[in-house]
Amino acid sequence: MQQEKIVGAEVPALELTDIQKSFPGVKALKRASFACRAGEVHVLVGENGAGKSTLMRIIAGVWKPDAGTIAVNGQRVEIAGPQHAQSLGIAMVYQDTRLVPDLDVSQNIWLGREPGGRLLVDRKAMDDGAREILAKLGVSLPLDVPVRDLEVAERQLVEIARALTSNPAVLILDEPTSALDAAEIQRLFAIVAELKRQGTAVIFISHRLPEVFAIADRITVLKDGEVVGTVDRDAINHEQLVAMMVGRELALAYPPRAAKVGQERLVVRDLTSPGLFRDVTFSVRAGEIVGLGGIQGNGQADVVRGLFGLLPHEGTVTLDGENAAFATPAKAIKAGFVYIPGDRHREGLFMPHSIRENISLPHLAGWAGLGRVPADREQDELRRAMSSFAIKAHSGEQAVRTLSGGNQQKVVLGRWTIGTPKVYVFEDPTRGVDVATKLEIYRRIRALADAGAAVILVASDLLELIGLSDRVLVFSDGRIVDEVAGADATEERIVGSAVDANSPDAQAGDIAANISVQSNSAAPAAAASLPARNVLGRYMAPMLLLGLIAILSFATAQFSDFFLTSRNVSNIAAQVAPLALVALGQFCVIVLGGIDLSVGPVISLVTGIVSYIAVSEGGAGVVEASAIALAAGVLTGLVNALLIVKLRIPDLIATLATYSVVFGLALIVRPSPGGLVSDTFLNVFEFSFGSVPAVAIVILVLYLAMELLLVRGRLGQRLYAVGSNAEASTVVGINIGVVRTAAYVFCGLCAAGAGLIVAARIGSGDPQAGATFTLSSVTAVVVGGVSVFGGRGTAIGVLLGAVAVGVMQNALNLMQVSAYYQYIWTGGLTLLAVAGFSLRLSARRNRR
Amino acid sequence: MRRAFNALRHNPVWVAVALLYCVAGLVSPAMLKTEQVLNILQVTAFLGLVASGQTIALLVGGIDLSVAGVVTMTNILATSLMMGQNERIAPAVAICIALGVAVGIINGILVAFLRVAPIIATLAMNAILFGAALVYTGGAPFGSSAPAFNQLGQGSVLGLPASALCWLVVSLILAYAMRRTTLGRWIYAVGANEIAARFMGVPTRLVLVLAYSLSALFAVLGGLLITAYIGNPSLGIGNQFLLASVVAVVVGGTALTGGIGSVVGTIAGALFVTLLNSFTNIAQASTGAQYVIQGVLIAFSVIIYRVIGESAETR
Repeated sequence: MQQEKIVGAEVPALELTDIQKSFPGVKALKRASFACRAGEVHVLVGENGAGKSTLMRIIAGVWKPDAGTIAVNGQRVEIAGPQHAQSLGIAMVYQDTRLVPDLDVSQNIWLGREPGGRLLVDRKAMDDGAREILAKLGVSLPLDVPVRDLEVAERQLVEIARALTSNPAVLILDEPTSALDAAEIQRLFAIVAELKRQGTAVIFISHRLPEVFAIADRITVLKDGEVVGTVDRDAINHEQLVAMMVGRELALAYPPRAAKVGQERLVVRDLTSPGLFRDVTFSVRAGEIVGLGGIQGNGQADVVRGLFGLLPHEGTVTLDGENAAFATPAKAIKAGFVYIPGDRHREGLFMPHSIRENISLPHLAGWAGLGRVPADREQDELRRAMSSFAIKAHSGEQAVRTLSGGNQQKVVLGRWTIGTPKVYVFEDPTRGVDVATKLEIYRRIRALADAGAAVILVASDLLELIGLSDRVLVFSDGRIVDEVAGADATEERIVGSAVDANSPDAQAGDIAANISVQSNSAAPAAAASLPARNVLGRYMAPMLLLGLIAILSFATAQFSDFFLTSRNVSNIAAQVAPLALVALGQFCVIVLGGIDLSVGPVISLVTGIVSYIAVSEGGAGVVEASAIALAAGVLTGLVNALLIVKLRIPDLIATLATYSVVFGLALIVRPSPGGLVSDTFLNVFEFSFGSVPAVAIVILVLYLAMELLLVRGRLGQRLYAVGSNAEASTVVGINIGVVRTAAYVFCGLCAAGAGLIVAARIGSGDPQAGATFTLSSVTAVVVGGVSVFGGRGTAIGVLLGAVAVGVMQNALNLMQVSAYYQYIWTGGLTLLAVAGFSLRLSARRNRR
Repeated sequence: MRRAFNALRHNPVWVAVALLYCVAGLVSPAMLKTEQVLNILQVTAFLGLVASGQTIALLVGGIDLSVAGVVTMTNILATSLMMGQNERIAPAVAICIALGVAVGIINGILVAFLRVAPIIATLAMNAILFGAALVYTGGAPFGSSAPAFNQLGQGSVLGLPASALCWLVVSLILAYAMRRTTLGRWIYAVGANEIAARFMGVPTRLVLVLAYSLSALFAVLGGLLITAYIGNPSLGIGNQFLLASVVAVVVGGTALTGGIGSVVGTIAGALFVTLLNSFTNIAQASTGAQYVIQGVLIAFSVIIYRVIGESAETR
């Protein structure tokens, strides 16, 4: 086998020669050379910051090298961008998955490359192609399930499938195993082996050495931006490889284990949290480090979060003999139980704030209650914390954001040198820090234990867990399944007991076989039952809304005979028309996760414009007025887009600014209501077929077209993709700036159109004419079931939202309720809709 | 000297206030007279108080657009409850504060517990409050504030306008509390990183509710002061504060992303906005033009602060 490869690979599939790349202050790559043959798995290893990611991004066309050459199949190329790299047959699967949670599997696989025409995509071709690729991977996934409902490992499969749509000659996998458990890793390896057999050159980045030896044909080691060397896997052993990576043996890295441990400090008995963990019983002694291990996501992290008061749980917990079942983190901290989470950016640090503020935050309540913080004490404690952890900074007032990763981690840890906590919980304490800092952190953690604290360690890196712990508790499916003394622990033992304890169909050995068996049986059933469910899912909110409108209409009809007359219905249609039109624009913005507050003033401005231009009888000015009005809308949208897309001002503040400017302009044009719009203008915009207003028909058609484009059009894919995950969209080559700009311009245009309708209705110009539309357009959108976080919603829902608002207004009018109440119920309805949506969302999250 | 220079570089808004004042003085020497300065201080007080509260909403990463409704509601309630009688001042003020804080608590619950986007929650609340004021008065507001109460808005102490003193004292206390008390530091922490704050034992939801309550409380105080100044009820008197309070806060250097900014900056921001308004008044610009300028100012200051922040980073 080895022989075959070498023979078949005289011309490398990909060859990089003397690549150099610098960033301000750093030389990321220094004359790095690297070649990968067809049909081989080439593993790239190196410490953090060695230059692996830079090299891969250069190959994928994200960055351009400063110097050096790249050759594909012996042909020299200049890679112009990600799209170009793809057309050259290079595909990349990123470490953190770049999928769009709200699009389904097929849509994600084809995102940015959908087959089909200019406007509409060919769904059947997408499904067929996706099925074919997934079959090639030996797996099967339901194609029309939103990616947000998939497991992490399944998402990664989707990502790999997406990379394969371009039929790449070179596939780059950037640390693909970091979020996977042992069984999933086995499956991934089976897929990689299959791709290799089909002749793909696979570049695999990793820094888990056992994995490297399991999968590599050849290994290239990078260090400080230079290639240390490329070796065949069989020509090197574990220790030699480590030595190449770091320049010394790693065996000495861990501090000695506890010589003797004290009495039990933390005692946990029968800890249970439904769905997360159950019957967890263990204790930690003074001076002891207890590691919680196993395959990630089997309850280890949840248990410590439960103990810390972040998750509801049952069972008894005592700390030094006293009850320690904490309901909140504040109580845990007060009792001396501290938890240092693994993701420091998300869970540990306040980036814009000073080191001082970061370090003292959890101690403030203890020092001062809710009152005045003692400045002297704060300074003393800060000095001690900084010196004991050797934090490198100009002063304690330096913003944490400006520190290096290692120093940031020291701030996270140094925070807890203040006071004398009894129990420390560390979660991945060395994630993303350099080797020197790692060793220092290990020593610190051991020192805390030696000083008498009880330490719990949750680490996804098994070597770290084994090296540092006195005892390791192995978790599987929310239970402790094994306990090993640190000195006797091995990766094999931990993974073995974690996997053995699982249900028999998940045994590590023949995972690959298992998957393909599953795929055969699962595929037809899934395909058959899903479409109905998804239509139901998509139109759930609109159908509910339709029911509500029906009930409301029925109730009103009981009160007033006039309500259901064709005259009143056409009234309602005329009333709803402008709102529905603005709401359509607002919807496009909100589905992208934005908001446009400027729509109200645009309507006011347009009525002002019209009241000056479309005034002469005989029809003059109607076209001019409409054109100028629409131009004003487009211009407002462009300014919004400029502020938001180009100048990166948050949408809320940007459109608040244009709100003010446009409102000012409306006041300048028409300081107070006045002017008389010509009859010709009225006739055009108030024209109706029988009792059906023409504008209402036009708007209905617009909505139906929008819905079609959302479901089957390229436009829908773009809108949902950008709204749901802007970064993922960029990676597949969608220009999110263009999509956003288009949405704001469209929204401005819709507002201007609504302004024309309003002008025809009131027959004059009024600087306050649009005042209520800013809120009511948002109301229609959120009542229509659109998520204000972006990525979700239907046009039909928005239309019904606008209709609901219109019907409500009409009904209250007929019931002689004062118009003043309109403000109250629009506000109330908005709050209800948004709060209801977020409650539904959190209920769904809890269920999972 | 050097320290003073540094202080200015870190607070460009004070430089802007000084520059604007000089320019206004050049255009219209009347601006330089003491009485004109005192007059500006007197009328800045209303916006200043409302904006101080708005600062807190922005510091926790939100926004409070219901301040307009709260000011209107306070004005309508205070005048209709006082009916021009001094002995009714205390209950009227108490009721206004209680109602305002209740509004703030509801905003806070919507944002903290129901996870409604702050802009939508407070925009809707603003509409509800405005509607409530319309319904309460039937469109024709009634009553007036008590003479003793009016002293707050119209009188002076030691030659300084009473309203300005109220504003500065209350806002400086708030500024101090934000920097030097546990509660203030919690507000900054929640704004910078809510998840991390929770992990540090900060009762984040409570802090959010408190932040919106404080914002509403300051809007009530601003509403009371402006009522004392004009003495009459006026529907929609709060509307001018909706945009202006956000402008003052943003000009004062508080970021929309939360956790960055200061109440002291907002004091300067409020001064800047008021100065600008009186300058445009002198220049005989229309209300429309003032709105245009205000809008441009919002966008402009966000950009300026970003540029300053980025240049500080690269240093």
